[in-house]
Amino acid sequence: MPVGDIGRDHLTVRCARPVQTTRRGLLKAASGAGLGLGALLVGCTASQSTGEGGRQRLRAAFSSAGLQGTWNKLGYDAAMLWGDLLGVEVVWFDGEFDGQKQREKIELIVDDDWDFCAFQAHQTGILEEPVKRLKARGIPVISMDTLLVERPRLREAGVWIEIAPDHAAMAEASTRYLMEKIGGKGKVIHIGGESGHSGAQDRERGFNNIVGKYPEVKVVGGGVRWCNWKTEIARNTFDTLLQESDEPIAGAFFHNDDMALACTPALAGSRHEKMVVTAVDGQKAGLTGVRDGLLAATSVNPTCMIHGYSLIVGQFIVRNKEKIDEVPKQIILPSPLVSKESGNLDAMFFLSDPRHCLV
Amino acid sequence: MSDLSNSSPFFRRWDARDIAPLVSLAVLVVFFTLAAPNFLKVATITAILKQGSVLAIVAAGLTFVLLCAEIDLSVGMAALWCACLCGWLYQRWIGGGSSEPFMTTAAVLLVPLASCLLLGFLSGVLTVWSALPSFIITLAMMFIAEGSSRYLTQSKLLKIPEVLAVLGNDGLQSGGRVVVPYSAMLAAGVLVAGHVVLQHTRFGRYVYMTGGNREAARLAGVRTGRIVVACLVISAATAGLGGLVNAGRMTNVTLDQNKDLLLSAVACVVLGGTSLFGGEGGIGKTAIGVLTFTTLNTGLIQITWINDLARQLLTGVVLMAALVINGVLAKRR
Repeated sequence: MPVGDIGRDHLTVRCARPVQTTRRGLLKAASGAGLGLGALLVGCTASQSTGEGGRQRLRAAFSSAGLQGTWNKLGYDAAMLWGDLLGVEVVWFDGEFDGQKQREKIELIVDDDWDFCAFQAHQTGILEEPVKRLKARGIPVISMDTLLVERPRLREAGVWIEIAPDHAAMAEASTRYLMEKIGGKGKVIHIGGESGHSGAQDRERGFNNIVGKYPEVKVVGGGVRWCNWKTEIARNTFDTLLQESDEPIAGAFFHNDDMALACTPALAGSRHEKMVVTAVDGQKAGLTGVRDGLLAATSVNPTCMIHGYSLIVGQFIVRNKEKIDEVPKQIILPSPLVSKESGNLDAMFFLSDPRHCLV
Repeated sequence: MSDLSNSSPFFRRWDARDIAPLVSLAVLVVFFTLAAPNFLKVATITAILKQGSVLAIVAAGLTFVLLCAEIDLSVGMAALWCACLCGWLYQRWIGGGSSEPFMTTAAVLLVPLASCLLLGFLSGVLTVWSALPSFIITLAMMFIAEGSSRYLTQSKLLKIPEVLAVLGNDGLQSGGRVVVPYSAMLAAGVLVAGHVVLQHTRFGRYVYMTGGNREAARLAGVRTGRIVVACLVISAATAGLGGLVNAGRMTNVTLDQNKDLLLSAVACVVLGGTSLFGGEGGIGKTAIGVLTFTTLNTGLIQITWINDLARQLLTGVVLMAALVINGVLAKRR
C-alpha cells in the first residue's frame, strides 16, 4: 500500500485495509505517500530536462473554499511549497467560504494567462461557467476535493481531472473504529459538516453505511445534525444532544477534527466522560487530539496531497504537453485511519508538518 | 390592559411592549416543554446558560450603542480579534508550556482586551469626527479586525490560556455536574453592571438622551460625541470579553469563530425590545432577548421529529413572529 489501480477512467491510490492495518503497513503507507511525491518529482525533473519549454516557470491559478479553515490553509501551504520547488508561480484566490465571492473572483481571472488552474469549489456547480471559459481557452482545470461539477459532466465542463479523497471511505473507517470501540451497541451522536457539500454528503453516507450494520446502535436526535463546519454551532448542538440521554452516550462521530475538538471539553466531568469520539481530517490538531486521548481516532483527509498533487499533476500536463485523453478522470488519494494503536501516529505528524506538506 | 395601566403604578411602568418579550419567552418555554421531553431539566437550563453567556456579554455592550441610536457592526470580528491576539500572545509568551505564570497569563488576557478598547475608541472618534454614520465606520472596522486576525494567525488554530478553558466550560457543581457555569456568572455580572450604569448613573441618562433626541441632548449640555465614543468603547470591550469566553469554551481559537455573533447579538437586543432607533430599551430587556434566542435554538435542537434542515427555517419564522408582535404592540402604545 498504497495500491495503485490504473483503470480506463480513473487512477485509484487507496489503502487496501484502512482499519486493521499493521504497523509495518501503515509505515509503508506513510512512506508510500512521500515516495509517491518523490517519484513525481523525479519524473518532473526528467520532464524539465527533455521538454521543449521544460525549464520555464509556469503560472497557475489556485482557489479553495476558504483560507479561514485550517485544513484549507494547510493545502495552501502545500501548493505554495511545491510550487516553489517545481518552478510554478501559484496565484491564490481565496473563496472566503462564500460561493458568490469565489465565483466573482474566478470570473475576473479566466481571461488572464494561466498554464493551468486548480479549484476547490465552495459548492459543486458554482464555478462551472468560469471553468467552461477556461476550457474554451484550452487551459487545463483540475478539480480539488469538492467536485467542480457533477461527476458525469466533468470533462464536458472542462475539468481534466478530479483529485480527491474518498470521503465515504474516510467516514466508514472512522465509524467502523467507533463501532468496534463501543462494542457495536449504544447511543451515538453524528455531527455533520455542511449539507450541500459533496464531501459532507459522502461522509454522512459512509457513517450510515457502517451504523446500518449495527441494529443495537441508536443515533441521538434521530440522525446527522448539520453544523456547517462551524465549531460554535457544533458545540451548541453537541451540548444540547448530551442532555437527551440520562444514560452515558457511547460515542460520537464528527465530520471534521475542529468540530470534534471544540466539543470534547463538554465531556469532562459529565456522565458521558467515557464517550468514544472519532472524526475526519487527521492533520496536526486532530493528531494531537489522538495523542492526548481527546479523540479515539481520525481518518486522514490528505489536504497536502490533494493540493500538492494538483500542482504536480498540473505542471506535468503542461510541461509534457499531455492531452486530456491521456490523463485519468479521477485520482483518489489514500486516507489512513490514525489511532493510538494504528502505529502511524508519528509518521502522520511528520508528513503533515507544514515544513513537509506531504499528507 | 389600558385600565390596569391607568390604575396601577406597576402596569404604568410595564406596558404591553415591555411584557411582549416575556410572553414570547414564556410561550417558547411552554411549547418546548410539551414538544421535547428533556427540555425542562436542570441540564438543559445549564446548557442554555452556557450557550447564552457569550451572547449576553456582547449584547450588553451592543445595547449601549443601540440606545444612543448608533450601531456597531464590528462586534463579531472584534471578538475574533481579541481571541486571536490572546492565542497569538499565549503562543509567543507561554508557548503552550505546562505552567502558566500569573502575570504573563494576565497580560495575555489584558492586552487583547486593551486592544479592543482601542478599536472601539477609534471607531467612536472617527464616527464623531467624520460625521459619517457609525454603520460605515464600524463596517470598515469589522474588515480591519477580521483582516488583522487572519494576518496574525495565518489561519492556524491557536491555543488559549487554561483559565479561559475553565471559564468557558466549568462552573459551580452539584452532584458532580456543572449547574451554574462560570461564563454565565460572568455574563450576569456584565449585565448587572450594564444595568446599573444605564439606570443609576448620569452617564446612563446621557446615553438615553443622546439616543432619544441628540440635538435636544446637545442643547441641554450633553457632550453627545463623547457619549457615542464611550458607548462604542464599551461595545468593543464586551465584544472582546465575549470573544475570550467563546474561545475558552472551544479551548482554542480559529478563524471560523464568532461569524454569526453580530447578527445574533443584534437579534437578541431587538428581540428584547430595545429600539434600533435609540433612546428606548435597556439591559433587562436584552437579557430577556438573549434567553429567548438561546431557548429557541436549544429547544429546536431537542425536538427530534423536526427535519434537521428545517431548523434554521423555523428559527427564522419564530424570530420574525416575535419581532412583528413586538412591533405591533409598540405601535399600539
